[in-house]
Amino acid sequence: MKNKKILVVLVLLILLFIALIALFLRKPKPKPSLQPDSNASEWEGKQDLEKRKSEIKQIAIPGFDSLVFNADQTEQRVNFYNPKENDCLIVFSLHVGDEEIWRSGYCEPDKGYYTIELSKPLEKGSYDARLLNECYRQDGTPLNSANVQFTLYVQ
Amino acid sequence: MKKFMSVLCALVMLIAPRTYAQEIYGDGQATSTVIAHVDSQYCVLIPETIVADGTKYYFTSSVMDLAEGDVVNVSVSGFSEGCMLPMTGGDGQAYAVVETEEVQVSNGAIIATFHNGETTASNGLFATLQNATRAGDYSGTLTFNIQLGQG
Repeated sequence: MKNKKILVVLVLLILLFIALIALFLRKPKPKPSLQPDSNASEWEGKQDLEKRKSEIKQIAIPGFDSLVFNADQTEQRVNFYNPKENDCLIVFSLHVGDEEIWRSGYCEPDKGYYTIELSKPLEKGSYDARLLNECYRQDGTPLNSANVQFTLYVQ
Repeated sequence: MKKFMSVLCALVMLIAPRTYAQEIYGDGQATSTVIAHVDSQYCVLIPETIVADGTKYYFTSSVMDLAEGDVVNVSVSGFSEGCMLPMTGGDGQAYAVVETEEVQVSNGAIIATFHNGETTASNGLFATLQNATRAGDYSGTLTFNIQLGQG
């Protein structure tokens, strides 16, 4: 009886040993093979890409060649306006040479000035002048500006 | 004496040449020249801002009714030294280079010219950012000078 028990234990030990050997000698399962993309190119550094394009809004600036003022008076007739197609505010300022002789407030689209009051009267003559259009968004953000250059005749 | 003077005046008035600004032909027809001047009218569209992403901007006009020989030139100012345009945004300061298809733009350079009836100038204007250190949108402003000239 005792021998029989020893035999059973021995058989179990042998089976365990065989199982361990089988476990160590087992071949690993082959992993699935991934196919690299044949469309990929050799990397040669960054290329220039198309960038996101901005939609550029525009401001209409009416121009003129000359303006006639009356000599020795400050009140003058003009046609300065912010075209209705604009959606910005414009501050107009009139410059004769380097001197500013009139400045508006923030002029809304489709509004303008027919009569202005100069800071000083001008003598007869012709002058190089410019009307500076300073443009702003409603929130005060400055936009591009434009100088309309013209000849001012004072008679 | 008075009668004599009156007759003399009447004769002088009859004989004196009349200076009408017209030519009278033998068949009774007359022509005269009426001179009138209509100023050139134009309206140029400028970009609201300079966006330095390489987008090309073509100057356009809504009205370009110019007298014969007149052109409208658009030049530019607002660059710092080295023809660089200061740009703000992206939580930092950067500069942009503004170019036309032909040259890098500097102060005073003519960047567009309109002839009578033209609604789009031939030159495109574009800006590229040079030294932005932070991500974000950058924009800058210029002053365009618009002047009627002779072509």
